[in-house]
Amino acid sequence: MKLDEAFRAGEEDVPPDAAACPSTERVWDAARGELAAEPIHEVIKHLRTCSSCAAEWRAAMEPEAREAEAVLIAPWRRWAPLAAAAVLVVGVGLVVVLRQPDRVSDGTAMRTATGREIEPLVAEDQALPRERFLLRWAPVEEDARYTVKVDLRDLTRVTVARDLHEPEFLVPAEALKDVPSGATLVWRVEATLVDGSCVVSKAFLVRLE
Amino acid sequence: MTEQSGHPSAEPTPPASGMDAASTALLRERIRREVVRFCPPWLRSEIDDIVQMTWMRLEAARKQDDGNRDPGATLIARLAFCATMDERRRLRRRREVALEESGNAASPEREQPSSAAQAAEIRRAIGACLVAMLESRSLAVTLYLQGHGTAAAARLLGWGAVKTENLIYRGLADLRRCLAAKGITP
Repeated sequence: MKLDEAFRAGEEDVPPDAAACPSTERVWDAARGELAAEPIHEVIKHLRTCSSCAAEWRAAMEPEAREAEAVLIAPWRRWAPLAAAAVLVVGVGLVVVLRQPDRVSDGTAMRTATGREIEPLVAEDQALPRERFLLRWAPVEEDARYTVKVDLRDLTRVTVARDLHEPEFLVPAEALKDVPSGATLVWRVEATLVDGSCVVSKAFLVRLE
Repeated sequence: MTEQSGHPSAEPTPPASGMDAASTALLRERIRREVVRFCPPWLRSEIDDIVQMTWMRLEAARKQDDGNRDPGATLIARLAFCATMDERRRLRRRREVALEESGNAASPEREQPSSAAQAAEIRRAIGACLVAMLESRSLAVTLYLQGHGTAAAARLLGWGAVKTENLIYRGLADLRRCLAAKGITP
């Protein structure tokens, strides 16, 4: 039995005390972090015993709040396996790179489980001017909505844009004011499709002119 | 759903205040997309009415604003979510009342197939264990079970990521012990 799956079961159950359910507006605001911590805590307490409101909360969650499920391990047991894994990954990565001498970094799009792809329309490692740092990609489907995350290579967040209806994002010059010229930035796109599924791109590189 | 239920019927939409017909049609399509996103499969037959309810809420919100601005994706999503979930709650309540009035208000265990009844029982046991747990652990574990990552849970709870992660870890251990004491084991 997986605990999270068991917890999410029975979403159509009738709440044990429907009168105690928070309003749908409150569920939305809490799930989106648009309330202070204390009212959010109150709503979360209600979710413990109300599978109906818990289902509403999950519907209201922002896609990026759903992070890849990780198996939690004791914090004190974490570092040794991570260090070993890092060595292994670097080793395997080196082997893969060295065995593909002719591979060109051409921004090949990632193929996802849904068969959809996000293909960048900015050449890999292209230099873009600070005043017009326009990130573009091929539309996934007509009505998709996009989230774009732009980071430095050390994963420091530069900016994020959500609920974009067009397959492009002009990074505000203000967001780039602390980024030195010539720096390489990493950008990713997440597309939410009409059927609710999500397509995540691979990380693309672009330089600041 | 019909007009008898006290809800608006899905009729052609008049142009929104301050918008031409084409913009109104586009806005209505945006609303529909959001409603479809939130609508559970069993509620799909009500989509037109939910779109109409969302439309009316949006009009009310726009009247309080200057009425001419684009309402924005977040507001549309919030209104569509609330209209959809309000309708979901209303229909489920009505279904329950109908069952009670027909004398079929049996216990959930009797109505459900055994596997569903078992799942519901485990869900209730998890809920009881969460309530009995230290509150800080309980909050963190609840968000984890809902599918939030550590960073997102920490933001919502107003705590640091390390603290939140430790609370999830210890809370999950508490939860497994509590369930085992109830005879439920992974």
